[in-house]
Amino acid sequence: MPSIRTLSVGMLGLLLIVAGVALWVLADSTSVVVSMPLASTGFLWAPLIWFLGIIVILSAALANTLPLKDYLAWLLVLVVGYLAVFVILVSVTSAILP
Amino acid sequence: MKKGYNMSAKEESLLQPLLKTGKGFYAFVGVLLVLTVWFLYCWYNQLSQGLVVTGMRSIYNAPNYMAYGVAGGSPWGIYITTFIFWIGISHAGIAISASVRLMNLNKYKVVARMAEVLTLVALPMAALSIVFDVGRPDRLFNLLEFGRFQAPMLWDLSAITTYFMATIIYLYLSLRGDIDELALRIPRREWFYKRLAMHYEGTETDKERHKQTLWWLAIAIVPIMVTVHSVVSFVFGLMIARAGWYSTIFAIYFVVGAIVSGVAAVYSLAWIFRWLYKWQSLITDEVLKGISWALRNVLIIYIYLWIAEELTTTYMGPSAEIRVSDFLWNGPYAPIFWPLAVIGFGIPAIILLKPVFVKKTFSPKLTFIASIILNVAFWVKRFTIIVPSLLNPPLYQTGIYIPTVTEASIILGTFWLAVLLYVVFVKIFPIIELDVVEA
Repeated sequence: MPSIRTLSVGMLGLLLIVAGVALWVLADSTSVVVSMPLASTGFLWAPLIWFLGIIVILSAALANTLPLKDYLAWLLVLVVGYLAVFVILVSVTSAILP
Repeated sequence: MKKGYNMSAKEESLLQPLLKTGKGFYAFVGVLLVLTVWFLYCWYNQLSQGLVVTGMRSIYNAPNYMAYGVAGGSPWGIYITTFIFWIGISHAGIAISASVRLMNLNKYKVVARMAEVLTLVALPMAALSIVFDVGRPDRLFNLLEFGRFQAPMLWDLSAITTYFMATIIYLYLSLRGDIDELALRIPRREWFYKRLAMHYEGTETDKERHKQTLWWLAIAIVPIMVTVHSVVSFVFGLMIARAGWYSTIFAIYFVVGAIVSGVAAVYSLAWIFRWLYKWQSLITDEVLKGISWALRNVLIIYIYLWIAEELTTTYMGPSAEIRVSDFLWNGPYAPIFWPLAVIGFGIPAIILLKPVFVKKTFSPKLTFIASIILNVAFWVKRFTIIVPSLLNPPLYQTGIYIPTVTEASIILGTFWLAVLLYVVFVKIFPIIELDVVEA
C-alpha cells in the first residue's frame, strides 16, 4: 500500500502536469505544427510547470522508499540539477557565441 | 574490506572493477580525456563560427558564405542522426531491466544494470546532439518559457525529461541496497557510500518496499519507452510535405529499430565485460544466447518493416517519394545504402539465424561481431532516413550533404563522453547486482 506521503507527492505531480498542460494549451491560440518553438503565444513558463510536474510525479517512487528528509534532498537535486543543465548550457554558449 | 568481513570468491570477482585499477585503465581514461578535449575544442569552434563550419549548408547550390539553411541543403545531418541513435540505444537499456523485473526473468538479472546505465549515459548524449544542431543554444531557456505544445521539439524535451528522470530514480532504487553493502566491503569509500545509501536499513520490509516500488516504476517505464521513440518518429512523420517521412508505420518502425539497436548494444556490453573480467560463470553462454535470440527476433521484424516501407513508397508512391528512394538506390547515397543492406543487416541476420538452422552453432564471439555491425548499421540507417528526404523537397533537389571534420569530431565526442561516463560508473558502483551472487 502506498503511503499518504507517496499519494500526496503523486497528486501534486499530477496537479502540476494538468496545470502546465492546461495553461500551455488553453493560452495558445494557434494550431500550426512547427518544428521550432516560436516565442509568440501561450502562458509563459507553462512548459516548465509541466516538466516540474513530470519530475514530482516520478519522485513519488522515492517518497515511497526514502525518509522524508532524504526524499526532499533528492527532489531538490532532481529539480535543481534539471534547471542547472539549462543554466550551464545557456551561460557557456552565450559566452562563446559572437 | 572491513575487518572481519570476508568476501566470497564470486563477490570478489564481481567487485573487481571497484577493487583493482591497472595501468591500462588510466591509459584508457587518458585517451578518452584527450579525445573529449578535442571534441570540446571542435564544439567551441562551431559555436564561435556558427553552423557554417558544418556540411549542413548546401554544398553546390549555395556558396559557402550563404547562411545555414538558406539555399536548401540538409538542415539536419549527422547531429540528428546521432540523436536518434542515442535515443535508440537508451531504449533497450531500462526497458530490458524493466522486462527482467516484470517477467521475473531472473537469469538475465546479470545484464540488467549494464542496460540501466546504458540508458543513463545515452540519454544526455541524445539531448546534447540536439544542442549541437540548434544554431543558438544560448536560447534554450526559451523552451521552458515560450515553448509551444505544437512543437515536436517540445515533445522531444518532454519525452527525454520523463525518460531520464525515470531512469535516474529507477537506477538509484535498484542500486540503493548495493550501495549500502559496498560501505561494508570497501571501507575507504564508506563515507561516500553511507551518505548515498541515505539511511538504508536493509530490513526485509525495506527490501520488499523497494521491490514493490521498482515493480510499479517498471510498469510505468515500458510505456514511457515506447512513447519516447514514437515521439521521435513523429518529429519526422508529422513534418509537412516531406517525402520519405510521411508514413503511418513510422512510430512502430522507430520503436522496433530502437529495440534492435539497444539489445545489440546490451549484448556488446555483456560480451565485453565477460571477456574483460572473465565473468563466464556470471554471464553464461545461456544468457548471451537468450539475448541473441531476442535480438534475432526483433531484427527480423525490423527488416520486414523496412521492406514494407520501401516497397510501399517506391512501387506506387508519389513522384517525390520515388525520387527519395531513387536517391538512395541508384543516386549519390547508393554507395551507403547497398553496403548498409548487405553488410549492415544481411550479415548480422545470417549470423543470428545460423543457430536456428544448424543446431549447436551459437558463437558468443561471432554474435558480438554481429551486434557491433548492427549498431554501426543502425547509425547509418538513421542517416539514410534523414538526409535523402531533406535533400529532396517536393519540387527540386538541393544538393548533397557531406559532413565536415568538425561535425564528425563533435559526434564522435558524444561516444567518447558516453564511454568515459560509463567507465566512471563501473569504477564506483557494481555493474552487476550483488543479489546475483546470493542467487
